[in-house]
Amino acid sequence: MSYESEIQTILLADPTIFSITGNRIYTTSEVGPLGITFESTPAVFNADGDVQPTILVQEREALFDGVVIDYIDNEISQVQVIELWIYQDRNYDQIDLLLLRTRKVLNGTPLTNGFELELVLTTGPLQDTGALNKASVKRQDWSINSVY
Amino acid sequence: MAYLETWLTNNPSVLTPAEVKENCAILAWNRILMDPTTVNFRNASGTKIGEQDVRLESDNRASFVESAAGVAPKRKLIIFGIRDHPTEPDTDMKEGYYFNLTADPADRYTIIDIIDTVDGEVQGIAEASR
Repeated sequence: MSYESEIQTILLADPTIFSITGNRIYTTSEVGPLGITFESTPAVFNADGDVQPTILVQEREALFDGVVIDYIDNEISQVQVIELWIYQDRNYDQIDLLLLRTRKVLNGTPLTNGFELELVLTTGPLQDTGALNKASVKRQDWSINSVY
Repeated sequence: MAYLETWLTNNPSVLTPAEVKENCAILAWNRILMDPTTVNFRNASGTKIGEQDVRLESDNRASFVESAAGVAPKRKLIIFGIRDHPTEPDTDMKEGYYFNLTADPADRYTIIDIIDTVDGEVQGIAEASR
């Protein structure tokens, strides 16, 4: 299981987050190269075309930091950032509620083959310039160290 | 030009600037009625401001835009409305207004620019990227 799908499972299991997003928590590998679209994820949009509160979990490639290098077991330490992209239509109130909650749920949570998640940053208010056509969005970055 | 200005000033049968605008608005309204589309713009806070008849002309070019959310085609529309018409209300159209062109909820256009330098007419440029 990738880190992004592991985080997706954790977020879906939280009742507070689920009450806002429902099942609209996706991973990049799940939505594919075209991303969140009306064809691939119709549940994101209501009848008026508004983007419902949605989280996209996207992991970046790992960076090998060289803190631990084990030539016997061939293991190297790495740090990896996982981004939460949180969307809603035009406002930021639901996004802010979700950001507060993800901070509580994820901070210090260990993942499989990794150490505890650490909060890196939360961006200010942004607007999507791609598939979600000016929907409100904020991003929260998490990092995880691991050795393997 | 001085002769023309003097003539315009002294000739009582020449239309006033307000009348010129009204005539332009009547012509613009006639062009809209040849191919009207009823739209219900939503303002920046999402409130529907009521149905209005406008004319839409599409730009048949498209390009890709990309973000973390995904890739989508970006298309443009030109929206033609009126102002200063003697009997019809001015078209209420502002930057940031948005609307769905069809019943498809993903077919969302956002007005990105307003051109109001044409007498009797107001034009909006709308963009969709879904």
